Amino acid sequence: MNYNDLGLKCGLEIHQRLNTKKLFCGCSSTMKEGPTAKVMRTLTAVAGETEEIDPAALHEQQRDRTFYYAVYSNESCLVELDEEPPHAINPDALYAALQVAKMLHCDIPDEIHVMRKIVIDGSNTGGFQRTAIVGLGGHINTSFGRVGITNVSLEEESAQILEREGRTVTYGLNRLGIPLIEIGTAPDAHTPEQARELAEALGSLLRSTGRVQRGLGTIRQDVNVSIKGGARVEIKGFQELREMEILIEREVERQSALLALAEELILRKAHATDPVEVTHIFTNTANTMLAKMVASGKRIYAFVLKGYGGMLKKPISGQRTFGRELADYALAQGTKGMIHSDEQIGSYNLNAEFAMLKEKFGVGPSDAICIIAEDERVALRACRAVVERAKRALKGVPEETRAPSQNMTSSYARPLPGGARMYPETDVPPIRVDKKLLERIKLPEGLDAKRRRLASLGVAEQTAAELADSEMLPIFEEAVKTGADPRRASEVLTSTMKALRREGLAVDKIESEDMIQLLQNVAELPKEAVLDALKTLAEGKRYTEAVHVQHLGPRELESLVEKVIKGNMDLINKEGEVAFKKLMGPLMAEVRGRVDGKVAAKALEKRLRSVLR
Amino acid sequence: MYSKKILNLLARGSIKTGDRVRVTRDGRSYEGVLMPKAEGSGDCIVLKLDNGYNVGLELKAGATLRKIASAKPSQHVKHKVHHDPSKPTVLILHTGGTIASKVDYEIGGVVARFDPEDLVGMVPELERIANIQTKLVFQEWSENMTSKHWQTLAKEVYKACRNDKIAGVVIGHGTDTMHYSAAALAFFLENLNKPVVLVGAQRSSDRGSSDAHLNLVCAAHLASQGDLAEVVIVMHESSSDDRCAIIRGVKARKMHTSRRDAFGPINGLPLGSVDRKGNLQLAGAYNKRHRGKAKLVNKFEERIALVKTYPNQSPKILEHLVKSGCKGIVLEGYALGQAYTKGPYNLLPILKKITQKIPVFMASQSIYGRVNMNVYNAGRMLQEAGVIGEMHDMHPELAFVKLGWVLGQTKDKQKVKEMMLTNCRGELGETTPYE
Repeated sequence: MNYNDLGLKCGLEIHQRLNTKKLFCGCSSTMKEGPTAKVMRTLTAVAGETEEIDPAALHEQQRDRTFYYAVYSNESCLVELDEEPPHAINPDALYAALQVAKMLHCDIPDEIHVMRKIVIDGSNTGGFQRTAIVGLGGHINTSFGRVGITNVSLEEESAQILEREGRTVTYGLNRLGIPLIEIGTAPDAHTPEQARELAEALGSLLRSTGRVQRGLGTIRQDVNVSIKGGARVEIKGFQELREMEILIEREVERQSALLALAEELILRKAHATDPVEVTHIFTNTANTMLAKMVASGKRIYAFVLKGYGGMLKKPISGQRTFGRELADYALAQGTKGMIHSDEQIGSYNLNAEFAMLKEKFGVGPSDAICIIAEDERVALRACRAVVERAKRALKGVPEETRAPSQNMTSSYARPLPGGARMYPETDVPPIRVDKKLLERIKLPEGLDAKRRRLASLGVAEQTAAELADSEMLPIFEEAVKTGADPRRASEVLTSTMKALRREGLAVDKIESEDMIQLLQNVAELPKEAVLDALKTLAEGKRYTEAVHVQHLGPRELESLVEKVIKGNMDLINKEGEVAFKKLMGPLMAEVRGRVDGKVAAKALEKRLRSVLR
Repeated sequence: MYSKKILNLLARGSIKTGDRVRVTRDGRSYEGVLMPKAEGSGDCIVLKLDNGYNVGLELKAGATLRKIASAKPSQHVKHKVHHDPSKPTVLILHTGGTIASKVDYEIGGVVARFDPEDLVGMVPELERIANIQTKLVFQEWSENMTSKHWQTLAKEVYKACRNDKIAGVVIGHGTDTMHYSAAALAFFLENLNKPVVLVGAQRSSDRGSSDAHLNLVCAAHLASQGDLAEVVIVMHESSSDDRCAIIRGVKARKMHTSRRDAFGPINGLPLGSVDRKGNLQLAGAYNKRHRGKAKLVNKFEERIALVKTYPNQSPKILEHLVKSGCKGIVLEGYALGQAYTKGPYNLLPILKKITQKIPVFMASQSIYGRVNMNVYNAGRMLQEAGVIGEMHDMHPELAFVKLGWVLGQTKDKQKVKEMMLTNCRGELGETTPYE
């Protein structure tokens, strides 16, 4: 693809979780506990500061959902439950955010105003997320030039979905309120590779604060994509940078395809009819899903997309068809989806019904019929949403928020939220950023300085470079401070971890405190024991379970060697020194994990020689 | 508020809050809507950027502020109230508080700002339950209310009691002193003939999670169909948005600073509960609706005091109160009804003096449980010194409101004691139920 000709513009929004306590209360951000109670809530859409109700907020309200919130005893409190006003903003989180704003050459407001961003999908118990801009109009230098930073914000993490069933969603409150730094960039990346480089650079900058959480889900990227003639589309929340490049590529493909589709639809003078109830046509249907729905009192509505015939089966990104794009809008309204005449109707056992519909509506080959089944209100809402989306196709690409979907494509999630969904958090007074506060904010050590410092501790040069930019650095620092051998610890945190990761072990899930404890003892432990311990910790076990045996002292080793030799005297007498290889097995079975293999071999060799002599 | 310097600057550029402006400083410029200054430094202007965020920017030397466009008029649509003759009519009296509040950008906090019609606009479900009549009685945060407000409110409720077309009354009220008002209304309205439901919110109505919605809907259900003639408080039964508890006004107390289920009955059980759909459960003994005539008894002695007992308390406080014209005191003693009876803080001498003139009534700062001044020596000595309040289970604020009301009816010492210890509105329980 020639991204230059297509006029690709990409901007990023990066969200990084911090390892401080929560942003507006004293709860722990570690997410280790299990829930202890559950609370049920509902949310209603309310007008923002400018008296308009935001379309994104309304959209969620239309789905009338019930929310359950799982409560955790140390990782959530009345603040997360929306039962107590927020406490003062966490000073460590604010410090880290201001550091990032400074590193990105941002203009820092003289007064930071905490806002409430209306979010009524239930992921925030208050119906809003607390967020504040701490930096504006900065930049970062990359290999492809300077990239603008539109904002650095400090905000609350949302609650995560634990369970979803129909219109009921259960969220966990342990994640809610963990501080997040958000960095928004200008759309200055013009290829997927540039977007990736930018994301990597920002990730490294965030890590340099030493305040970030590590592991899966602790950093999330959203990417804004548009091409010439297209529209700004936001793809939400993916964690793998590899995915990002492909998703951008697919989005460019999608926007190009939608632009071509628009031209065709205009030529065809495409338009849509109002939905009509057609449940009676399906009373004896052979389609089991529809039969079940009709039997349970659901209704079926049909509408005609005039001039759209054949268009719905056109792939527009990867295997994703335009019909699927439309169906997303029906899904978003809480239906099971949509069936249309561009699909293999025969495979649904709906040939007869669709023939009747065609006749009823006087539909030609250039038209498409769509049906949606649900309760009346929901079905009609879904029909209208699909019709609106279909009409919008004549104008090209709609602005929307999309979520990553299967095969690296994305699916419609909700309309792009507008500015109306913000109003001040009046329970938190504005934070004055005066000179004194700004002077207190020290920039974190640069990568080079860090590398040099690590090398001076005795860390090998290559390892130092790697560790300096790693999210493991804070663990390293803490371990060394409490007595770990720097060289061994640095090797474990870089090459050893990498090797185990490659084997598919979840070493990133290892609790920081367990890792630190292991590193403290790394100099005394044999290499194999460290490996075994890491493997056990990666299974979710704790340190005391992983390193249960003290490593062997020389005397214990000798007695075990003796035991192996005594038990195999016949073999030794018969084979002489060659028996060594056969004896290593039984010996290792005795000492594995407690002493280095090489040390064991040496001891065995020595004893064997003396026995043979 | 903005500083004089900023206000002058705005005046010179004929810039008003709500206008779209451009700020240029240090070579960067920002466009946005100029917001009013709620709190914080008066020297920072607050700009609402196009992304919705507010930021505070100081106008340092060389900075400029220019108007780009005038404020857009706000598009506030008033809700029209419809009438359905097949439905009962509920009168919603509005007195202020969080339930009818929204963010005020001038002063920064939540303020009472809704017209009564807004309440219906905000909770459309109300119209499906009943025909809604609304009246603004006054607009006051509950911490600013006085007994005068209770008297005014009681008059409005009394009017509704005499109007057969009104099925029940809902009163939107601030929560801080709601249980004082509820107790006062209960005492002020004798032979009440229909439900009078006080309702409030712990989370302001401008947020999606406000408890106002459920509380109002449940209150309206109870007022329209409940076979009940009592002053009650209807608020969340738990932290969940599923049901509201119905709590007798004279038993209710705000027991938490911020939770939705802050209200609970003291020394009693809830009268029942009601949910969003109108499923109503009432239990135990309560007064039922009737066609009789209610009577307004709303005289109240304002010059009374509620005094908490505490270590090192100077007896002079009581002396001072009497000197400054106090006509009755509720003493919030320890546990079963104890206070200093020896040493430098001994209350007995001063109590002996003042109980000759005014009633001193004992309630307990333990909140839960019954006063019994026969168990310990201190209690017996306090009784000998003239302190009344034997064997009752009224929490201190309830005893306080009742004392003011009783003193509004009679000054006779014996009569006051008798009335204080006689059950009038369900405020005194003969037994203390096990919960």
